[in-house]
Amino acid sequence: MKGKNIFWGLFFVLAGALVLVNQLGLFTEIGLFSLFFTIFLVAILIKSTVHISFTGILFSIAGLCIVYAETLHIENITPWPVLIAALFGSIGLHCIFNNHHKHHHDKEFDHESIDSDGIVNVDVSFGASAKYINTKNLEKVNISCNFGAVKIYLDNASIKNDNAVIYFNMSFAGAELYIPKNWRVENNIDTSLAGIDEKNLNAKDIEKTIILTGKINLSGIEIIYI
Amino acid sequence: MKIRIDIDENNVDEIIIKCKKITSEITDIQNLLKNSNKKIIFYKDNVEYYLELSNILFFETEDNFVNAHTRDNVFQTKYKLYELEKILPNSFMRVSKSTILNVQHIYSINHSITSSSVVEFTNTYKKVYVSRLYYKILKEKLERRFLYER
Repeated sequence: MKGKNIFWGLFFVLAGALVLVNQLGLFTEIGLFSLFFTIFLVAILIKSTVHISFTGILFSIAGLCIVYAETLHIENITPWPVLIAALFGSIGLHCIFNNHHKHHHDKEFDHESIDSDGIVNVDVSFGASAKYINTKNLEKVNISCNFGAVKIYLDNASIKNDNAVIYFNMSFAGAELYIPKNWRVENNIDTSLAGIDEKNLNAKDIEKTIILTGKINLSGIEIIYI
Repeated sequence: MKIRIDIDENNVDEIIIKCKKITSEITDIQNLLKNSNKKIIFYKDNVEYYLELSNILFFETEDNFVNAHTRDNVFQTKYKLYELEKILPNSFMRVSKSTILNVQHIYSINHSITSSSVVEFTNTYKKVYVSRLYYKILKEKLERRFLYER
């Protein structure tokens, strides 16, 4: 993604320039490491604001509070109270603004009808569910999971074209995807404090591709090839 | 429980259960003897299959029909879950709003106090969730499992 590279490239160039400036004697009131952290956290803050990612915004503000605790005279609430406040705030805002995410930000989320069997919708909140997908002309799977666990089995599904898309919208959730061995998985998910793992990868005779997209926060996805 | 078989040329084939009162164990034996010959037709891609129920790991609902899962295949059946609950033999048990499983194939149960437990089946990656409500009943049934083992 070009935008990302330019952004971080500029950050590193700026950081390098600041090292030199600091050594030359300017900006010496603020320590070198404080300066680094400040710029790093401000970069994350800007990026999170652009993506409207509450976790990023709150945690970077918390980080900045910790770095400047002395100057701002807020030692009472650093470091742990401010971090815990950021965590709770993050959870709360996610609960409130989950729908806003869906409609506004992600035009990819289909509210397609149940008639079209190429599109499967999985919606799990505060619970656990196993979903076995058996459609013969799979095009898209929309997985929306909050505070829950979901297992999706695609071993008995067939893809119509060359590829199918799985769109994720998850917060505080765990997903297990069981995918046939001869399918390849391409990852385009926007992650925030989240991880994606693969198991049993044995890439031979690749026939189809599964494209993962969407956003996941504080969640985990495990891809198991069968 | 003592088992006594009375062989006599003049006997009529009959099964009599002598008991103090009817317990769940007695009703289990009763259902076992009644339903051991049930057969259900399974469908897949316009083909009809006549499978042994012992091969089915679990049934789960999907929109308008019910899927029957074997180790590495899935079939459809025309019955609804509540109808299946009545006609399936005792080795099958309802474990959630949308699933009936076959206790003979259970490999392990990952018990969770807070949410659903996960049941794994032998020789397959397929798993199902058991809701908290049904977990206790499932455990009791598994303890009486010796009645269904072959």
